Amino acid sequence: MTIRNISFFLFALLIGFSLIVLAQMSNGQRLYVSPRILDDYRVTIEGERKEMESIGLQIKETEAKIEEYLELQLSGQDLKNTLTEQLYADIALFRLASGSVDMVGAGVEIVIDDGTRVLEYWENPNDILVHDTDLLLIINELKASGAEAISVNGQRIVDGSSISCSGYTVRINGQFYARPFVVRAIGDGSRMSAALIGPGGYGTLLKDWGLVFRVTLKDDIRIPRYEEPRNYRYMTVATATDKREGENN
Amino acid sequence: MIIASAVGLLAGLALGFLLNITYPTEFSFYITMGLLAAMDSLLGAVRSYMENRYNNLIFISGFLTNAVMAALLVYLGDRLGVPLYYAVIFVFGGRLFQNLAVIRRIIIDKYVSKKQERIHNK
Repeated sequence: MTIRNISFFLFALLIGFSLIVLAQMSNGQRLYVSPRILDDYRVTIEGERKEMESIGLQIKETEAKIEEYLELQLSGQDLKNTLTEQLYADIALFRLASGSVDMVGAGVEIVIDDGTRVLEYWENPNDILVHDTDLLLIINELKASGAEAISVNGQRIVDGSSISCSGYTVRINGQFYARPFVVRAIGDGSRMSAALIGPGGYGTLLKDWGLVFRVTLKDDIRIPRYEEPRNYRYMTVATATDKREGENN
Repeated sequence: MIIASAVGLLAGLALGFLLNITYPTEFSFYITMGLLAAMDSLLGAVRSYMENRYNNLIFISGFLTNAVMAALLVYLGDRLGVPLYYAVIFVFGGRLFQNLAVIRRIIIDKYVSKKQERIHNK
């Protein structure tokens, strides 16, 4: 056994070992992953982890609540009052979330109006009119930047709200409105206005077309409640035994 | 020497199968580079042995420096987003074939010269 033989043995060992290690991991797939993709995955994983954490917190909270109830039950107290209180708190929360109450808070007020500039001969008057899609995009942008309650011309935007074109007017929640449009939103005003009037924001685009687009930060915005009727004719609450198409999709 | 290499290779394969090691995919390139460096060094050693100028120190130090350089290049490439590992693959791959060619020539030389000697002796 010379050093030479030992080192040859060791090198061959290393080669065989790493060959097998590589082969077992690769399964014939390409292995090179660019750092950017790795980073993307890292961000995704991080997000998922945070979500998992928040769900864990929710579970803990719910468990704590259950324990609280059980303790109350064990102590023999009258649960009625506590439960009623809890239910009222729940109702208040749901009313708030469904837009059934007026809201006040700090936010932005956006005024959008048709442009007043003189049209060039090749231009279409539609270019400087406010359209339903403009409103929709602005509302979407507001939601994306954290708006908690939105109204357009006094119509609260809720889950079932619609904005559609109807000639020279715009139909919002089934009611017809003409220009100017005033969009109010409660939320982080600087963030929402930055999203709209920053470079590449939709407000900037509208201004470039020649429309009137004004954003004002306000501390005392009042957003009315949703007043249209809510009629649910087609859907029913799913029970545990209901298994329809789209389950677990 | 050949026996040592063969035994080592078999032992390495067996070890790989038995240990069933997993590693983060980020490191796959480093392992590949290590593998290439080891193959290059081994073939280079065989060649120098056949040329009768084999030296333990050169063999082992050559492997170590090559492996470190390869790892550095891969790391740098990862950092910069430039596939610098190509340099390692090309250099090691090229040297593998070069060494193989030299070994082949030496073997053929030996074989052919022996045969000619035999013919001459007859």
